[in-house]
Amino acid sequence: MTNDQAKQILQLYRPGTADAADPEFAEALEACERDAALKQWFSNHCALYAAIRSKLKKIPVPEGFKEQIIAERQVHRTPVWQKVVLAAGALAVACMAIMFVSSHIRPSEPHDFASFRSYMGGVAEKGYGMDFNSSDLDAIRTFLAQNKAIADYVVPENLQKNAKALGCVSTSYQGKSVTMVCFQTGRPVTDPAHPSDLWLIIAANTIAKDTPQAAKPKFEKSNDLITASWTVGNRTYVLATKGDAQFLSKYLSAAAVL
Amino acid sequence: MGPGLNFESVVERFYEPLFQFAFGLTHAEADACDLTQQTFYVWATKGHQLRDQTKVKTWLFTTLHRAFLESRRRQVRFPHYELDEVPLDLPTLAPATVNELDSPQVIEALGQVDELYRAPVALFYLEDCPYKEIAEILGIPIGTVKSRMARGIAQLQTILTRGDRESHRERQND
Repeated sequence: MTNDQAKQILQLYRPGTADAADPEFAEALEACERDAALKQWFSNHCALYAAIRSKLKKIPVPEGFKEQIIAERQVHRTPVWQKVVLAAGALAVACMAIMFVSSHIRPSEPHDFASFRSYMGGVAEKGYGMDFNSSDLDAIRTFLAQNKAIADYVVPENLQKNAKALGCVSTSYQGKSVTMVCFQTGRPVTDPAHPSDLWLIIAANTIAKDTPQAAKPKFEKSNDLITASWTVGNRTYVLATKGDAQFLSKYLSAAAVL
Repeated sequence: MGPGLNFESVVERFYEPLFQFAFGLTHAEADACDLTQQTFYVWATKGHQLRDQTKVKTWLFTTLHRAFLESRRRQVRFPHYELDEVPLDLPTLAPATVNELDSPQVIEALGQVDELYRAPVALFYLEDCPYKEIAEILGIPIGTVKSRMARGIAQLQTILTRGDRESHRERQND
């Protein structure tokens, strides 16, 4: 390394800094040790650096400047209550957006009758809160009518005779009103909280696109239940229980079954 | 803002070197105050995004330098020189000469350095940052940092030498 090369490197050397550990400077610093003239030049460079640095370091900071910066910050800072209000607002907007999007992009549930039957069977089996408890079918109908639920249904004659009414539930399926009248067949009650074991489900005959329109019951298994479905007028019925079609037939009108 | 990095402690630690850097760039107290204030304002609003707390100093100096460049609306693309292209034309300036000068004279001389070289020169004398950090602050490669520094230092020393000659001449005339 020539002296000029060493000077070129060392002119950017800052004494007292991490530059001493920089390998690029290290070689030039070694060169200084071997050459007296270069060493003198380097000594002058370091002294000049220190002199200029000390002068520039004396740049006076205006009095009270630090306090001014901190005070400005406090002026710009959003109060905590405002942050809470903003956060709550943002959360509400986000929730509404999610609800809107989910209600619009949610894949539509199948509108076929089997789905309706399966859904209502699930409601019957997995538990529900009885809206009205009574063994009186007339009282049940009155209650449903008063509550603007479906009340213009016809209970099969054999069902009235062979099963005991326990109460009713007014519910909905895909926004459409559904009534469920609950019965006990006389079989031993396994769960006292849910003594019903036979359910008459009544909905509009438009509840599904493929709602059976025949008055003659059609038997179908739906999960653990045997169901019979039929339509009379503008009402579609599903009678469901555990067991088989023969057992269920006892609760349907003889004429209908035949 | 990370733990242990509350606004007041960051201001306490960096307001002075930032102001001095800004003053070195703008050569005007009001402008330096504005730049420093603006830097801390940006820190208050965006500082929490900085994950590596050891980079606070670099972050602040980078922000201040960007704000300075933005304030000048510099559209000129500056030429880049490699260090070996920079002529070794440092004037002979004795440390004693500088020691005789007042601080404002040196600051004024820095203000006369070409704006392109002023930030590297200010960082060269005022801060002890490694060259890698200076390159980050200025947003240019290390080679360019060094070439600009070398040219800026040469300019500063020329200005100081010239000033010394003029004041010497003035003293003789008196």
